[in-house]
Amino acid sequence: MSTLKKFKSIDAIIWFVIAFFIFSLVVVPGFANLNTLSRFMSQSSVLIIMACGVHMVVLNGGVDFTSTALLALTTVVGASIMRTAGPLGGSGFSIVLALLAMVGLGLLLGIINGLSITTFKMPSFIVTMATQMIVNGIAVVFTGGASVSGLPAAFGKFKGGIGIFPFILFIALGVAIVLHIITTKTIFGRQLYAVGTNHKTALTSGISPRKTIFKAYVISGICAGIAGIVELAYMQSGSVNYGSTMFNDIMASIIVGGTSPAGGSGKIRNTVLGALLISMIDNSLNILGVPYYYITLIKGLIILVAASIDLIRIQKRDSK
Amino acid sequence: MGKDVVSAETPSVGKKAKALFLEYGIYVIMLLMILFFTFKNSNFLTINNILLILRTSSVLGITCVGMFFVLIVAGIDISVSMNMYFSAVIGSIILNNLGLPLWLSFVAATLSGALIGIINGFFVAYVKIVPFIVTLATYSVAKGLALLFTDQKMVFLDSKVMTIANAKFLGVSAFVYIFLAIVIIAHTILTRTQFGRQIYAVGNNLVAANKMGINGARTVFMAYVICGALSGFAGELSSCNLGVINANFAQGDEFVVISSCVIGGASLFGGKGRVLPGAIIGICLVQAIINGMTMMGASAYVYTIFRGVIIFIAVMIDSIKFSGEIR
Repeated sequence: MSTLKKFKSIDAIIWFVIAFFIFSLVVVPGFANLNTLSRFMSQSSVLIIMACGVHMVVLNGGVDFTSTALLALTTVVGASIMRTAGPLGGSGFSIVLALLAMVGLGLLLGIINGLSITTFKMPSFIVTMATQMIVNGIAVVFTGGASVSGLPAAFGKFKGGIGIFPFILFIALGVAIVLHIITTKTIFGRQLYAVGTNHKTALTSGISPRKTIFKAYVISGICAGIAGIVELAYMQSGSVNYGSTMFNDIMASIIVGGTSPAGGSGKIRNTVLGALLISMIDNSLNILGVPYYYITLIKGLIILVAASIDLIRIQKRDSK
Repeated sequence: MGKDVVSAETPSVGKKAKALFLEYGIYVIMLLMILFFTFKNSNFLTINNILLILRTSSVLGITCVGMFFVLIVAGIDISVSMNMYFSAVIGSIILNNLGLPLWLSFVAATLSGALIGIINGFFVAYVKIVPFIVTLATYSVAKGLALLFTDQKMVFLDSKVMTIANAKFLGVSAFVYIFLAIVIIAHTILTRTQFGRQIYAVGNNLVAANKMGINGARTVFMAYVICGALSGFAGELSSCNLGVINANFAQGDEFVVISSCVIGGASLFGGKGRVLPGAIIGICLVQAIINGMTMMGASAYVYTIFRGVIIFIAVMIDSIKFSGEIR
């Protein structure tokens, strides 16, 4: 009986991931190939970091559109710094400086978003859409639309890995583990869920919703900066086009993982699995030669269906 | 924003100044920008250019009217731009492939827009998913469908569209009259009918409206359907205006529409806003500034940054006026 209960407590998403993985291995030609698997892991690394960052904001019932534009801006800024840091250009110092600048940019935008949302009480999706446009515009003006390549050879080593496991996958898992610990083991984590579930109750029980929400946006911004580093390591060039169509994937990963877009519930673990599922769908359908518009259509439908299932489940639970 | 004004010695004057700024500040800023363009470019404030601004405003203005309904019920519709794209493509199929008359393509585009609106309304009002998630999903769905039907190719419209694109009355484009007619109808519905009053009631307080016996879910549903139908109509009109539908059709227009509505007096928190004159003022001001920037030779990217800044300021003022819980 207890094993059955344990079996039931595992979230449904894991079965979807396993089922689709087996499906891909069997049906998709060339998926069961070490190179393809390695590439798949690299591609999903960026999505895992981005989705985990935005996940923190969604726990409050918010959303962060800025992250995708931030990914693009940090790659072009990072690449430019690595190429031209004066006499130290191309050295280890310029790489460290670039990485710091990338995370710093994420932090800065996180602070701007967080302040706008907590002090002016602006709706998060509009604020982050506005900053997304501004950040995207700045990135294009900064580069003139061209991609920035020619990175120092030392940074090229980041593209490697241990066997078929790329280094950047470990960074992604590291970020996920840190956020998992933050959400489950710290006071801040519990405050995050409390504020997301009921703003007023949280306030009356002595939690500052402002501070909590502010921190969530800062974390999301920093994650976008780290995702920029990972993307730059994988692509070895910066471009304003990175992440431009990624936002749906991020939201799909989070919602498929069972996180309610209204806030208050959701596990980082499931968001990671959601990101794996979405990357797998993307990869497999691409290899199968499914046109881009079908993939766009399918992802839109996935969001609608997953969000509906989630709400119906909540309503069933509440009516019991 | 207006903080130095507040620090004046007499707080009552300061508060009044702050309130005045919040109410009219955005208009002053935008009028100053328009004045700036007028001085910088002698072609800006000419009859021809004003007529052009009115004409381009009319197309998106129709979508703004629809967005007003959704904003008043405290919703949001991000899918309007791709709805316009999808509906314009459906209209082009009626016109080009089936060779049917122009008015039928308008009917078809409006109906396909309404279909997207029905999907949005169903998931928002009855399944109760957060509006921006629903409309983000239908944004992808509509975009995917539009690309599917066009096979990712450019569509050149039949020359029949020129009859409406070139139609003029008293020197003013027919588009302007269509827009005005829709504004007046929408204004009458919102202010003179039971349904209109229900929309405001639901937007102000859904729970209270439900207790008063209003069918809140149905009212919200209808608001999304109206927004979808008007977006579809605007999409067809926009394609007639351009004569061609490319892959960038209406891309990013949802931001122009939402910021125009907020500038025109609608609130993202619901229950507020008058289509007459809000929708007209909002869209005309925004289009005038876009037009002025294009004349100054500003690059398309600067224009993206500007759109972001405008929507940010408009929403910030809206949010300061509204004192509620953080969302």
